[in-house]
Amino acid sequence: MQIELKHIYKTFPGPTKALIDANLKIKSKEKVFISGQSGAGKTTLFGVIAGLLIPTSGHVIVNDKQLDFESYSNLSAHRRKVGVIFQDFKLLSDRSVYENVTLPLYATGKPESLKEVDFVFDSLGINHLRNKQIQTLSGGQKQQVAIARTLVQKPDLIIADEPTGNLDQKTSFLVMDIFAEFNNTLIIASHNEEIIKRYSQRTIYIQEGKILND
Amino acid sequence: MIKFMYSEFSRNVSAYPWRSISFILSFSCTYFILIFSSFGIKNLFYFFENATSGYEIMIILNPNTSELEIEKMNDEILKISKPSISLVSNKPYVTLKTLNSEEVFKYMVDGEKSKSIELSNEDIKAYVPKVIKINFDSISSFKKIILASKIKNEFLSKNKVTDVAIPYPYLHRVAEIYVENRFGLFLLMSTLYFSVFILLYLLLTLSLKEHKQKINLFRILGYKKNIIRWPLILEGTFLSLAGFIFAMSAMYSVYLQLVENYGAEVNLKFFSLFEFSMHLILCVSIVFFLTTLLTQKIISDDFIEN
Repeated sequence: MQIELKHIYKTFPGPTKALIDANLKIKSKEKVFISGQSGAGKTTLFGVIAGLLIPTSGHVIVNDKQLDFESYSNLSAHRRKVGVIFQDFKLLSDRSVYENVTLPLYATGKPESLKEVDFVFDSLGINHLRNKQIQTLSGGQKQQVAIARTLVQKPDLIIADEPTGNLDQKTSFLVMDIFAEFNNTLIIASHNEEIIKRYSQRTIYIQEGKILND
Repeated sequence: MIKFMYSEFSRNVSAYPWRSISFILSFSCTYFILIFSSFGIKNLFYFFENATSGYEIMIILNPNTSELEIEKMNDEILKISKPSISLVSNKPYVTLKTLNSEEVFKYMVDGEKSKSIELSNEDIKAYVPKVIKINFDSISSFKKIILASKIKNEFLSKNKVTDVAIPYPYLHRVAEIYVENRFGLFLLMSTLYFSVFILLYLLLTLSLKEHKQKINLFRILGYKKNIIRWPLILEGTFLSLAGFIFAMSAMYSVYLQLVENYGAEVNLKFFSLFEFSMHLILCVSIVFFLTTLLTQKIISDDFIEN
């Protein structure tokens, strides 16, 4: 998936401007790291790209087609192609790991083959968690489940907000290896310099809502 | 898709049994108010209808009275004619007329109708009736009670009668409230029903807010609107239906007790099957409509931003 942001501004109620004239082009199958301090605007940038936040002004162009933020069906179709891994995981605590991971498959009401789910569980080594309830998991395990849910979705673009933030080094590299094998566009926010050095093809720095250098 | 929606719906209902039970009870209370008010109104109508069937008052006239006037009765000035004599039965009678001669009641003495004739004073004195019976059958049940009460007060206050016998004298206040404060009653009932509507709205809003996290995630995952909406509508409708049946069962038990204890004295009318179906359809439709409206609102709101 190719993403292009043109003069994106995003303001929230109050004086803060989360994004100021953000211009960015990410080619299809590109792996991009986004770095910046907390509150710099990374999460807002992800929200706009994923179609979860409506920009105050500017355009988001996906595969040379402008994203229509007014149309729910258009937005939901875009969201189905984008897998987002959140810092707070956004898992449903009243369900099992398996039920959480398979959630994206029901987005259109016609679940696809569940074979992919087993493959993802095996790849991440979380087969033993399959029937556990979310509230019984540690932070790292929840992170892995959130990643599994995104991979099951088979998205054209993965956006991951600090995906290794709660993981130990070994699991972090395992997850990053899986991402590296991902054959589509990938945007990752990370503070981990080692991971950036090891996996980054391109790093974008963001500060106080402005994209500084690319 | 249907399987998924059904599983979501059953999960919503069964995953939090206490929430479901509290919602069923809340819906029950709401329906109880609705059902009780309509049951009460229906019985009030039936009661007045039965109580005032063949309603008449009996006026025992002062022997020296030959002409009676009643003023300001129901915003009309009424006049009782001089007693006349029936040509057919040869018995006396009087008529009650407005000043513009519009006949509103016929005071039939001994229940017979006849053409009136003017009599001389001497004849009148000879035929002055001792008792006049006023029949109100041509007037609505509420109005006849009020009029009877007013006629009684007017006659007694002017001391032209020795007594006025009036059935159900205590009912006139209720009837007055109904007839004279109809707007107030309508306002009261509207407020009650509006409150019920608001209560349902708040209940459903609360329920949907509880699902906010899930709805939010479904939106992030690109779920279609219908897949988000239908399990919630099903849940709302199911809980509402359960609440309705619970309320009806409770109400029916109370009704049976009432019939058993007071059935001989008061004629209590419950809903017919048709009315029951209409209530059911109405109540469930309101909930269905509200759930759809609220779900639509929540899906349209930018929850993700918040």
